[in-house]
Amino acid sequence: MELVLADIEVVYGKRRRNHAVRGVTLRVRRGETLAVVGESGSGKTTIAKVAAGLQRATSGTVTWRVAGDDGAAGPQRVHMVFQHPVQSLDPSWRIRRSVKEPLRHLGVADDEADRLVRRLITDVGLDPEILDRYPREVSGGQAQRVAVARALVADPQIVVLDEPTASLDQTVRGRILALLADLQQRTGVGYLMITHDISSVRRLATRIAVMYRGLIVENGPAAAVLDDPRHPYTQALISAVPVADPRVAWDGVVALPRHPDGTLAVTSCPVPGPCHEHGPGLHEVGPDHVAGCTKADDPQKAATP
Amino acid sequence: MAVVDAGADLRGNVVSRLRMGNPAAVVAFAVLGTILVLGIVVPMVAGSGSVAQEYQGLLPPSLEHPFGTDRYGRDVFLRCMAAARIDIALGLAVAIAVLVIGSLIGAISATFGRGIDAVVMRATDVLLAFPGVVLALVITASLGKNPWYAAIAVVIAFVPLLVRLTRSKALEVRSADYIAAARLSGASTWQVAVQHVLPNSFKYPLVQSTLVASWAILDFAALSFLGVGVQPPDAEWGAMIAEGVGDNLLGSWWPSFFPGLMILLTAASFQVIGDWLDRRLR
Repeated sequence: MELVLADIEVVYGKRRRNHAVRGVTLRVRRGETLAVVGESGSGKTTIAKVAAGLQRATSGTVTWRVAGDDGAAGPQRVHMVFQHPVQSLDPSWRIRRSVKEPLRHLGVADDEADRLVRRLITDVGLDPEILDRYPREVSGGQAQRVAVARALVADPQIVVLDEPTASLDQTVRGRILALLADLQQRTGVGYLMITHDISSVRRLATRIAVMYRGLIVENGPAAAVLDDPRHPYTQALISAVPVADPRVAWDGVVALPRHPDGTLAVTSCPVPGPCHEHGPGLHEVGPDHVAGCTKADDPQKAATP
Repeated sequence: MAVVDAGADLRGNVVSRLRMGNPAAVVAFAVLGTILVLGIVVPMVAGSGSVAQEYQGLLPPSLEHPFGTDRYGRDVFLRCMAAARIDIALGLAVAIAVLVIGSLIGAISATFGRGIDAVVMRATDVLLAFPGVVLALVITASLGKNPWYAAIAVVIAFVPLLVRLTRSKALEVRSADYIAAARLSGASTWQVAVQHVLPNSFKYPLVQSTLVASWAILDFAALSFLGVGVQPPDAEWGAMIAEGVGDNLLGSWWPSFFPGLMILLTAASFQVIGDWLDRRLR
């Protein structure tokens, strides 16, 4: 089973239009983790909402494609883990009720649901005793484990992780990532992980899509993108070495020139050159690895303007 | 090793918790409780005394008649207590009705949004454009002179307030992540409204409803004073004031003063209790 987002565009606002996502195509397969990385305002959270079905795309389609053997998978297809764990649990509900909620809406019998909830809560490394508490009585790390348990309890095909570790401290962060990897191995769930934290990408991702100003600028296997980034923005984002060209400012979307109707006047790339006004579109730079830069074919050229 | 719970004694019972929190609330509960108990017990003991004209008219307060007698020779204390039952019960009933109806409409309006929200908001705009008493007066006058109609009119006058309050809180709740999670879990919009939005935006309307209880008593008394609520000879504080004002001019202050005092004490008690509840729930 494969979640396919095709040519997704999202425009916010009517008069002053904000083109948050400008034609994004992504695939998330069961058993693999697609990491969407980018800075604030790059449209990655919008992509997460569209993929989860919480928001309608202005144009483009979100579809499911059956591909080969998927193993046993429940009817519930997407769930989500949010950035702020405590806020993602209803404060007036006991944790048991929150974790059980997906099962209840699927019509699972109550004792069967109780059994599943207990199993999941043990799977995420918590004492079942926590089920009788309220969200305000648990720590952020525990709450995020509860949120993971809730997301996985109904055996979804894909779980969207929206900056799952951003609000946790460093040690808890590592444990949550290890937990997510472990659960993926056991259940075969697919992750769409939204993040700006490159270290969690290294830990979890099998594929990486880099977003900049609402566009995918590079997309490929995690190892290839991390070791051999082709787009100058990816290089600026990933590499520990100083930015290739200090004259190039990878600004966010806020201060960019706009057309009178509010749409952006520049498309993609602040690097001076022939494709400054209009990005060249994605093209193959390696096996299953695409980048949106004319200079991306040649790593030497990409490093200089 | 034994675990010592040092706070157990302090958390012990409702009374000590009350006392720790807010002495004004203790007084308010005591006053309200006393009036309510007397309102239930006194008419049972005294029988039809509240309506019976068995004494000399306009006797000043004395040991025999603590609140004096009115111009028809009825004991003002008995009538005040008979009225307490009606007025407090009415205040509570109106508050509960307003709370249930108002918060449900508010939560639904906020959760569904768009058309439903627009209709509800314009309706509350219209209702809120009139002062509560005037609105209640118009409604009662058009329905007919009847305490039930007056109560319904007071409910209608206060519902928009609670709708607005619940809606604004519910709009905040609606954008929370747990609402998104509930949607992903398969909850319908109705289930989201009733199971998540309503319980989490219930606190402020609950506090507000105690204030509504006090305002409802004032408004109901005003309606009876103006002659469209409880009808003579039945006892009601507002109606009793209306009957007593004429005597007031001739120096007999007690027939109108004591029902007024009752209204003041009851309404003030509800206000203080609302304040206490607000602090407790915060």
